[in-house]
Amino acid sequence: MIKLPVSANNKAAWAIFRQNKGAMIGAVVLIFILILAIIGPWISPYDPARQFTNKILIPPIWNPAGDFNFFLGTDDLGRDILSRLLHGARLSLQLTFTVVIIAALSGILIGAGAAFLNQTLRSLLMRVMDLLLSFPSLLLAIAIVAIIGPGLPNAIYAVVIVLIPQFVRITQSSISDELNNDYVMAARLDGASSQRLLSHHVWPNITPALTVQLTFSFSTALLDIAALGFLGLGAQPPMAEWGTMLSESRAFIQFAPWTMTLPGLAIFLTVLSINLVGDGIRDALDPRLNR
Amino acid sequence: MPNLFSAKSLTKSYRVSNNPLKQSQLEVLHGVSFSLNPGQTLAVVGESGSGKSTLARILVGAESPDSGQLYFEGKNILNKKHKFEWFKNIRMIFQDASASLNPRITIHQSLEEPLRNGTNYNATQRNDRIAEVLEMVGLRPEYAKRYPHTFSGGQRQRIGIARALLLRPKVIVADEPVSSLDVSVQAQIINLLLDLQDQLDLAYVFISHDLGLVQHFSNKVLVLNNGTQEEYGPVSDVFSQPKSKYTLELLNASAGYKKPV
Amino acid sequence: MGLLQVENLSVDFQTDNGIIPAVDRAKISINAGQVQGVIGESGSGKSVMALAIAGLLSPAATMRADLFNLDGHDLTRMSAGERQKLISNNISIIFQEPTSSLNPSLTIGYQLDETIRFHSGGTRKQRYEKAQELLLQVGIIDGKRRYKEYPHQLSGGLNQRVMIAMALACEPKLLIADEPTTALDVTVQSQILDLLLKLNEEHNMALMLITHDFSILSETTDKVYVMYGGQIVESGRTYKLLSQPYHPYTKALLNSVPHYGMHYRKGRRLFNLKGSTPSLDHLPVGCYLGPRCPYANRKCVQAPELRTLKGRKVRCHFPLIEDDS
Repeated sequence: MIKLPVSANNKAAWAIFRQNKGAMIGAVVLIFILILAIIGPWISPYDPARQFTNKILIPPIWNPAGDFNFFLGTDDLGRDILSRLLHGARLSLQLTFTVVIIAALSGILIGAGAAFLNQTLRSLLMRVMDLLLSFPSLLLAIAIVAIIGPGLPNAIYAVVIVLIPQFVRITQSSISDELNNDYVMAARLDGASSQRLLSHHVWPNITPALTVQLTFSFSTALLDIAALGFLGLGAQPPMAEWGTMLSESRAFIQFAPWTMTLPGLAIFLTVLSINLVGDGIRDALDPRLNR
Repeated sequence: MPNLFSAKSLTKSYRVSNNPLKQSQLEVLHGVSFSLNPGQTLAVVGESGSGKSTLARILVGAESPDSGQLYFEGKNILNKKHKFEWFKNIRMIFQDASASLNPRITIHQSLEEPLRNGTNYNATQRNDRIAEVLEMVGLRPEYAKRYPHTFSGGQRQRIGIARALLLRPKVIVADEPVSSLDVSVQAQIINLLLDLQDQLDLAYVFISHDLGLVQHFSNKVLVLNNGTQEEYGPVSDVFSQPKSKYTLELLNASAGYKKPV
Repeated sequence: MGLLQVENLSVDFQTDNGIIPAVDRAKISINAGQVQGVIGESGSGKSVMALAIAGLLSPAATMRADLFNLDGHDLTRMSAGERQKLISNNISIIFQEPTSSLNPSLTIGYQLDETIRFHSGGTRKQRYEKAQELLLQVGIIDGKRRYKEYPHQLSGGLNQRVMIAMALACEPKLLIADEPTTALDVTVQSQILDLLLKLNEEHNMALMLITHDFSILSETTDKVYVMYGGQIVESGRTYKLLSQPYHPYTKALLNSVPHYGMHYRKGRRLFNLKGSTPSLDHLPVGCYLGPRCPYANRKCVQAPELRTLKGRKVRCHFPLIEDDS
């Protein structure tokens, strides 16, 4: 396993990141959401699938008609929304995490391989990646699910495929840039093999770019998975997934708006905080902004 | 007894166009030959575009020549089976020391690389050798824990020299080792190189455009102009009785600025 | 009456880590038609001083001077606009990297024409003729062809000639050349210096040569200023200063580089200062050279003042003058 170097550069980056108010707020919110996702199943009051048939569409407690047993109210089948949101947080973040990790690993491997391919093969591979990148990510994901059929596993494959090209491109271009540097030639003359050159000399220099890409992929993946769920192409009911919850409650937006607003708010907050953190990381690691 | 290090009619050209149908070639080296013995310094002199950096890269094995031979202790090192000997015995000092050090790994990690590949030392032996070499170039061994950006230009060039020395080479190719340094620091590095030559009986190939330094530093000189070897011989002969017009022009231009009369 | 007289010129840079003094109380005076040299290493403040004199400092810098007389006008008593106008009419500056000082996407002709239009105006035809005349003056013979070309089509030496032509368009009384030949090959270097001296003679244009290389100053300049850590540490007539430096730093600059043509024993160790040039935000206490100076003793923790010694100015407690007495 390659370990990330904690260098003086990283300390300076952290100092810049800490000064960025938006990024710090984002980080705090994100950590809060992550904690909720981890401990969610233990603190959630009820089973997310349990139906209280006599407690249908109860509003949240701040509404006079609210019920203290159901903090955020219930949906059309009498399921506790708080419990569903907590379980959904875990499911959504788990899915996102898996998708991003798989996409990042395969993307980085392909990109690293491409950097060492010969000119013709590399051009060919990169043009294929450009082709995939030219579609909006959600549209491409929908197209892929439409081909391989709806359902959660297929939605995951689709989002993975959508995310891979970004990693390939950024890995390949950063490695190509780094390979032109003198220190790479110096390491070659020190007898380093291509593999060692990549893992010990080039890798620490491309991690900043990849870290930034990783954070932004998180928000893309989260949104795409939720969107596929909403369109009925991803997670299927009765699964407590944020996108699916949105789509199930579509019919009640007129008279039970909380059923739709609450999962929407959860998605919004998570994506916003990831993006704020991503912006902060990008500013902190961007060498052009380093003073 | 063969020479320590010698080159016979090296040539190198680059493809200028990416178009595979167009075969336009740019010849950057055209028949370069020299020989070098232990403790000697060969200076390679030329202006920008003369091919002197390409020659340096060929000598250390970063590029391969189109034709010609390179001999180390009588063995043709362009032959694959002598590759390891080449890499251990002929090492390079870069012009820009800060660019040749990886900014995100420590000095120790950078210096460990040649020892990993060139010796079968264990971790302790590697540490000892790194400490020893850092002291040889006038740096404290504990500096190895630091990152390149915490050093001054002169210190970085010392690290570059340490890296070249690690494997106990016999020849060091130095590509303009002081041209990116401040004037008052240049002298430290030149003195260090001279000290090391005395101690270790090193042979230097010293690439430079500064004839003052060359005259001070070298035994032999090779003048390159547009990839062609204009002149080659002992410094005293070449500088006192240049045979080619180009050398004369270069010498005149370098002798400080003279007001035209 | 001097062309330019500056006294106690200080330039400070405002940064996140506090104020950095880039130039500290510099005193410069140049007469019309005189050639002077400023020598120093990177970070010595020589380029900042040049920019300050040419009125080209960045907004992050603040500049103070007790006296700033240019061509008989007192600039300290002028509004910023008037000062800028007077400076741009009298002082031109050229830089080290001619290729990056020119806009790569505009032709030589366009850039030259723009300078002429800005400075003296005239019809398109007049300006074209003026441009051709300037190109001829700086030794570009095929001016008609070069006029239509882009900077990347010209060599470094030719680009530097174009820069000089653009500087001449303003008919300056003082031309500041900041390392004009450092980026060029040695054989081109002497051509550019020849050109600068020829223009100095023909136009009676004063010349301030900024460099780190003594070898180009010895025959060109009348007077030399040596800068270290933002201060002028020694100044005086070139010949005397080079033959007998009083300041240890000047001696180090002269002796640390072997000059071609001077004969030493091969392999002699060079005179050198230990350590490296201090950065301007971490200057040592007292004499800035103190920690590196082989002659330093306890007194050097007090900052030396610039004092006059045998017609020369030296900033040192222990000038090397005793050596020969």
